[in-house]
Amino acid sequence: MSAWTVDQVVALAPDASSASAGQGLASIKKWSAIGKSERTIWGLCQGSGKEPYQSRIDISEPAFKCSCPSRKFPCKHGLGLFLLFVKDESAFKTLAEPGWVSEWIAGRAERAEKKVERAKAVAEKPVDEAAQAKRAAEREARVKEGVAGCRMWLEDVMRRGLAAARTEPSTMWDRMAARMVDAQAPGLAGMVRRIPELIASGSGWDVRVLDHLGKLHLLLRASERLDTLPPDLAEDARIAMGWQRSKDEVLSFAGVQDRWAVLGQVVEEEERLKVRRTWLVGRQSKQRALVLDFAAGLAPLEQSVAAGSEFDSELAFYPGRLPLRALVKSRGESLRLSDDLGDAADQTIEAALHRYAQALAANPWTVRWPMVLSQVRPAQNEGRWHLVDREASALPLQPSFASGLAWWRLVATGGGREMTVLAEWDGRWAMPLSVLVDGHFYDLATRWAS
Amino acid sequence: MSGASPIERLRSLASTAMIGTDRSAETPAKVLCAAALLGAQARAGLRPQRIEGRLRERPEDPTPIAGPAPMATLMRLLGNPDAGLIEEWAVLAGRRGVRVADATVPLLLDWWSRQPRRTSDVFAATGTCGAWLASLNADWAKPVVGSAVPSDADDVWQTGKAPERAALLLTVRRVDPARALEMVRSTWQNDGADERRRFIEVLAERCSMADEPFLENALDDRSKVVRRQAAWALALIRGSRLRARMTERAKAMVSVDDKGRLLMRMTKIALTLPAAFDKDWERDGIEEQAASGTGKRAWWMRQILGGADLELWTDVTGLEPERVLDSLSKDECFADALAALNQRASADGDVAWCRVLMQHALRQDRLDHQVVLSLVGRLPIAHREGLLLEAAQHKHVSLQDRWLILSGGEERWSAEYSINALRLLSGRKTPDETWQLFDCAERVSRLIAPQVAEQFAEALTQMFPDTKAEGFRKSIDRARLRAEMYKEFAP
Repeated sequence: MSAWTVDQVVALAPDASSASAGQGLASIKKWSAIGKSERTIWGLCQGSGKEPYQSRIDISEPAFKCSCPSRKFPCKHGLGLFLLFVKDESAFKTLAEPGWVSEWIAGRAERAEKKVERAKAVAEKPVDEAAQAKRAAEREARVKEGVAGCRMWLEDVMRRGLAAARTEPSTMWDRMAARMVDAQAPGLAGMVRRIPELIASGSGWDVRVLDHLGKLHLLLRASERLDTLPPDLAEDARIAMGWQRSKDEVLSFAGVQDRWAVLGQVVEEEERLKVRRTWLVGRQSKQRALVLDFAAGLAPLEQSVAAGSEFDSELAFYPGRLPLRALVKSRGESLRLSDDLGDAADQTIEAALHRYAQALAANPWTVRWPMVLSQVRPAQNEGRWHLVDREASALPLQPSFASGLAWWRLVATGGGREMTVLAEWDGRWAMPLSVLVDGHFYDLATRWAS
Repeated sequence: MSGASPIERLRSLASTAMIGTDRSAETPAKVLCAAALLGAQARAGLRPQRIEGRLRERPEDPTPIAGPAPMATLMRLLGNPDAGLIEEWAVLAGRRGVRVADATVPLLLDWWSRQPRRTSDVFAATGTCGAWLASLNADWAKPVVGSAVPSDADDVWQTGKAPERAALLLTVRRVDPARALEMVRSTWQNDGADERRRFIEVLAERCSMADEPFLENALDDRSKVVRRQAAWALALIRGSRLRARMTERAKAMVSVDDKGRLLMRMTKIALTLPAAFDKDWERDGIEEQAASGTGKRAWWMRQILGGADLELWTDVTGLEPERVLDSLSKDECFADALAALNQRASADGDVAWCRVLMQHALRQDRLDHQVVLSLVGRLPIAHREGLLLEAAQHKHVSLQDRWLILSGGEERWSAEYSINALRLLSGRKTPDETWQLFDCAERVSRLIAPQVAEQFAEALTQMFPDTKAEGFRKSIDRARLRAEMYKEFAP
């Protein structure tokens, strides 16, 4: 039996139409010359072109490659082949890899090696310190100007009051957000853009807006004195402002070796940018990690790790007081996540909130925190759904989530009994992303609801 | 203020922030700094709510879950919903004794709850998980046309919305017909005309003499749509007073001309058109105004003969159904009588008459596919399929009509019929009016025995070799998907 389930494979689809098309291709009739080797499966699929498409999958990751011209990734052929494999592994005979498969595998290995070398080279490369300092100084000047402008604007908003701010047209907020983008502080732009959303968030909006403006103010103040802040706090402020260290640089840092469990994944689209958050937990280190992937416009998100799997790997963290954001440095074979997470999970809701408080104390700009809630069950109170632990402590669910199909999937899989739930906590509401119950992992990703 | 919690202090700070620092003693920076601190404290110090009550756990379900292959097929069907196939999936699952995997149950229920017509097969396939979720989610607990009458049936009937009540009535009617009639009676005086009409429509299913007095009363209802519906339902009940009245009226129109019998041993049945419209007829649903092109008197006769018992013809003449037709055929009103007989025989599902009328239709030069389909509609499957194959081979039937005839009906085809029908449907020439065949092909793809799906695909691709074939792509895919589905469920 394959280590993968139909659910997991379908969850890899970039959108609902690919998922459906892939399912249509998961039939032995659509394929010829299928085979498998230790970690690879392959097959030929007749498409609209003259030559059949060569589709191949490295199932240890999984990684896909197909000769079709589709821009979606993985394409429907890859999904179809993978689904066929999961449904009926016996249809795949163990064979010698054909040239077009073995070459791809070899090429991948080579590229992976080069990536490591490149990271090493970056780490070892003598830095042109003068040029770098000049670039940094230029950028700093631009940001300084932007920050000063934003502070004055924010104080002006406060002088006139939130009641007046509520009547402002949305263009006022957009303009300031655009200025922050120009000032190369996308994190500040994002915080400004959030203000009108909070203003329109219904009863209690004034407290939420004030809380948010306080955070913004704190970030503006911190960015004015980055050089006098403790270095790790300065890093957190930089990340919050949207100043990224380069991937190569982060990959050159020493990583944390562990068995990393991929507990949840969510894709959000904003301003024509797709952002995917992947949450991981280290079984030994108990550390939480967030891997972000981005794709602009219609470009597909790069294949990353699949929710519901785990692997031995080294994760390199972006520096900070409580490092959270990370990159996968090197990775072993993907295994299906089935075992309980033991004490790597939060044992109670109190404990999970405590961890969140610690994260907030370390980094006041923490937006979302992963909670790995073990032994919780759904419960209703005054018409609202919650997750409740053995101590009867309850966390409220984000209302839009609780009225959606993903919530009912969660309820159905547990049948009212205890389960482990991974949820993003934003300080107010929990948003579950996945469930682990009786050794089965369920992705609650929104594409199921479409 | 110092004794207050951070969230309380943040709230009171918000009232300062609302009016603006220009109107208070604070500076913007001071308010913002305090907000940053209090906000972080409030978030970090949040205490969880306490909820003691527990959800009732889902009852154990001993039914095994369907295998990965059928489950993958169901997911695919839900991604691109095709109501017929999803229902068929559920029926197969039920037959195989398996159920839907828990995580998929909400997706299926969500789809199901949005269907205008809901069969209990789909709900049954969700096992105890489905029933349990429906008890938690009101959207899914709504109209269930099922096999069990819910315990709160009386409440739903008294207070429910129109679709809920109609669905409930349908369920009750199937389980306990007398109770359904009682329910309708209990609120009849207060229900609107549309609902009253709809209820009679439901009662027409399995109606019997037990419903007759109620329906007879409804002939005097204040609403015309209700009166018409009641007349229609009464015409379905053997022994109803309406049928008796119709039969009496018909008797006056049918007579035996005995002159021929003596001379040539031939009986001739003569039809006499009614002279005038009797006001009493209207109560029984007889329309006075005829459609243009039809004579009024012939139209009245047609309605009356169509409502009369079929026994009238054999009793009055002492002839077998087959001879009745022969003896009638010379009359100038034969066409109207035949239409009436076709209508009555197909509505009653009278096997002997339907067969005779079919044989008659097959002997004619022109074969009307609608007449064929209504006559065979209620016959047992073996009879029906034989007659349809015969009709499809009628000498003046075009390939077009063959499709219309063979694809009629709603019941799944037997393997033998599938093979024979497919042979008759195949042709080397592309038929002219392809568009009509799209619907036929869709019906065939839903009804055909799954083992001949490939032959069906081949026949279509051969007949429509060019781009037209694209219009049939869906039907081909559907037939293949069904074939796969049956294979996946095979033991």
